[in-house]
Amino acid sequence: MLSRILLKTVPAFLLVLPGGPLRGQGSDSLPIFYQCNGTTSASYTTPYGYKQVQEMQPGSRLQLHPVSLASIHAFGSYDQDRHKPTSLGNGFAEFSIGADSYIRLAENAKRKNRKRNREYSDAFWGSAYYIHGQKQDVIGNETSDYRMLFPYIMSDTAGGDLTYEKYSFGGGYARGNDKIRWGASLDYVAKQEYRKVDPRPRNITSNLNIEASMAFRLPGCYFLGFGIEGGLYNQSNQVVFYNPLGGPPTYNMTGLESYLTRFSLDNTSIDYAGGRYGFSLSLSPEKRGGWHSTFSYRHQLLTRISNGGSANIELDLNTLDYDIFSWKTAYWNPEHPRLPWGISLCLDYEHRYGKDIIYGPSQSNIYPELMRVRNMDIHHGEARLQADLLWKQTKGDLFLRPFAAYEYLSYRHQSPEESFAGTGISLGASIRKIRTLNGQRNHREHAFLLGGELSYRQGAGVLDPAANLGLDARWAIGTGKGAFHIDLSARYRYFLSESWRNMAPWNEYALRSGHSPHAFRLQFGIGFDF
Amino acid sequence: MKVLTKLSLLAALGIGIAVCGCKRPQEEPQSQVTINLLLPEGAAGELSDVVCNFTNLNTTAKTSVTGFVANSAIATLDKGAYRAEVSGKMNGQSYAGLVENISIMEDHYTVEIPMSLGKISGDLVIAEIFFTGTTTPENKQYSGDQYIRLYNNSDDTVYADGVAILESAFLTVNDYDYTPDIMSEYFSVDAIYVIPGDGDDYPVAPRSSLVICDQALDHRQSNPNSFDLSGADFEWYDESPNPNFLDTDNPDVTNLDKWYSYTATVWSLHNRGFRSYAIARMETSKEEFLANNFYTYNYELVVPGFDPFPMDGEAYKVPNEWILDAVNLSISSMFQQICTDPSLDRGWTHCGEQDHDQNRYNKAVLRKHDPQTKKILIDTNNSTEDFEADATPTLLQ
Repeated sequence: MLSRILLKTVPAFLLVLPGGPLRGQGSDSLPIFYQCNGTTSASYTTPYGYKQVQEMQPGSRLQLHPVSLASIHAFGSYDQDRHKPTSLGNGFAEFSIGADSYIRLAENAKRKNRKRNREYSDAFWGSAYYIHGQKQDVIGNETSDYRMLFPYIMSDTAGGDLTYEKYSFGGGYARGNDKIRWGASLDYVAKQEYRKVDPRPRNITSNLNIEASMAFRLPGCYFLGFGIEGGLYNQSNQVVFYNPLGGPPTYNMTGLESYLTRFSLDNTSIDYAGGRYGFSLSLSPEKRGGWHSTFSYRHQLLTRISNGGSANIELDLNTLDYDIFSWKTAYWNPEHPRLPWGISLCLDYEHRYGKDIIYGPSQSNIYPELMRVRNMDIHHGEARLQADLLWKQTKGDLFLRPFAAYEYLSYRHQSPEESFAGTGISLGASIRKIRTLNGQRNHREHAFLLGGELSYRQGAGVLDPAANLGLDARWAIGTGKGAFHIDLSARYRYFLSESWRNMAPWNEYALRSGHSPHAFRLQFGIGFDF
Repeated sequence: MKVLTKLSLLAALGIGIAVCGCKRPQEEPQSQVTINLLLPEGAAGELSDVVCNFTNLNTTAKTSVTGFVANSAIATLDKGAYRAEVSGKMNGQSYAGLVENISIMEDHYTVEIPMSLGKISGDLVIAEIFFTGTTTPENKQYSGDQYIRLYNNSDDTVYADGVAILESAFLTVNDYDYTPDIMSEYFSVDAIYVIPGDGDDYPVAPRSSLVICDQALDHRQSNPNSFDLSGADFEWYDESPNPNFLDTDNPDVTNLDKWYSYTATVWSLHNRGFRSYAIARMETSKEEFLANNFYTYNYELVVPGFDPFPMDGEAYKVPNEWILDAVNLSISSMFQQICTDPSLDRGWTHCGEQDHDQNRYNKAVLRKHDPQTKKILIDTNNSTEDFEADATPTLLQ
């Protein structure tokens, strides 16, 4: 009795720990169906918040799906948003094709060893994606992975459309029984961005991440898990001008409109290199439902390096450190006969700080390093509370997801002294109606999802309220275990103020004229699940 | 209980990491810098109206230090790399000093700045250098319309006979240590073009100009964006042995007397502004100068990962006493050091900001007019202050 009380209070105790990595920024690009359950079938609806916690450790993915799943899909997306920072462009058009697979090996497979039998479950998963697209009107940024490398990016006044290609591969394995679980995963993303008119950036990025975790059964029905991760990142960021007269100046930024005066202009060949390490602790239930809580810490260090340029040699210009804390806790009750429900709380905190490397006078291309000065600090926190409610009805399901989110940002540049601080609140909900028709030979599924969000941000005395409305639709037809589906998604956003766009700290150097309060995104996808 | 203990330890570990991750930013360290001005040999006294400017090499921030007493002062500066230049007066004469390559890393640091007597402007000065060239309507680079304009900054008529146009042998964007270092006595050059005459053939009236150009043509016929140089006072002309690189001679415009040029074909001003230029009154004959003023220098080329490569070069040296005026040109993205003694010019000016800057074309460096007496040009031997950078050439105004 005592141990059960303690186990129930442990998640609450973990609530005092702050933080969380700033992931999930790409989740907004997925149609809402994938956000809701990560699979194409309404029959296996794991709440997205709960799935996020499960995916924080590879060993926890053993419980991700009760059966094997595989899908092949292709998407086309078109986005227009003149409210985004100019450095990210005012829209994009892209096409992606990919495949996901989750394979569970035979349940209760027995394996004899010398002393005793153990019943293990095994799961493999893998994914591969290719994305090709074009960002429109990117101004003030010639560096890829802008948000990750901010503010140490290369900026200019020209800019233009930017074509990109992205290749993503990943996979993992998990194994476990009622005493122990363990797993490992590997993910690799390579990306290329380029432009065929001056200024001509050609950026190649490479991002590798490896994780491993192990969990042990506690007295009761919970597992205590430990995880480690490590990764490597590098980017080659080169800008050239074909115009025989040359081109506009480029600046290696250091934050809040400051730049390296000594190593800008002619330093248009920049590398970023570094890596990360981290660990995580988790408390996960024995079965698919229940409390699941994971805390993770990650440290990342990147160095900005100039190749040639005015120095004629390779020089480290800046270092960028990140301390990222993330704590996600979720509860899911899938066994409720009529109303399976879930709730999740995600807390993320990132402290990003950068150092300028100060060099002395050069002599015959030798630049003595004098000191490293910490000149930039960013504190960014996010909290999101979300509920998932599913009413099972006769000919379909009704799914409701309300959420509330809070965001905090503090940004300081020491010399020259500049600072920015802001907060934001978002409230929203989405409702989905799924109608399923099961016949003798096939089944059909129609689903419509309507989502809305009201957000309010303020920073440096500037207010930015906005409203967001989205409508997704899916038609699926299946035979046996396979199903073909078509997805349509349309989202519209209305911004009541243009000021945030120009004031946001993510918007370095360049301002865009021609504000539009409207933003929209259209997506079309087809896929096959089996 | 064991479980609770383990969980408590894990939680404490997490809190500890969280606390350690939130570090306060460090204060930028500063240094107490003592500045001592060293007067040249034979001079004694206390300088007045002294202004010492420290320029941070990494941030380009400038700190001015005044309040010198007995040619000394103390200032508080952020630690880092600096360049210091000083100006002052004594007994009605101007003194200037410059020290480059200062690394201030200690809490207390002393810098000694040798001062030298500034050149007195009372003769011809360099009023304008148009070195970038113009661009064609098709936005291509156009060459041949470069020019240098000299100006009589005095109240008397002066004669341009024997005045040489000099180009530095070294580049302001290189940081090599040359041996022997003769800069305090000589200006090292690799191009010398001299105005001919017997001494009174080419008078220049007070407050009037003299234009010396590359090709004295009406360039508007080839490039509508250019201008007419057919009326220039002088042009430099090269006999080129290469039929692919030939110069154009206007027989109606007097050619400069070519004493020396590093190139066997056609000489022109450095289009991107990496060299220094000076004018001098040559006090010997051409033959005597070429025989007595030739010298060789050495320096080391350092390439990371390799042993230093010993290099050598050849140049001519012009005594600083002959120099009437000098201007250092460079660009902010690549500037390393000036190529003249600080007494001649302790600053530098520019067109454009970076190498191959497309915005440098159709621009010149123009010496500023004294705001009170418009006809006198400012000459403090500091082209950073004396010149307007990225200016519209007078022939394009």
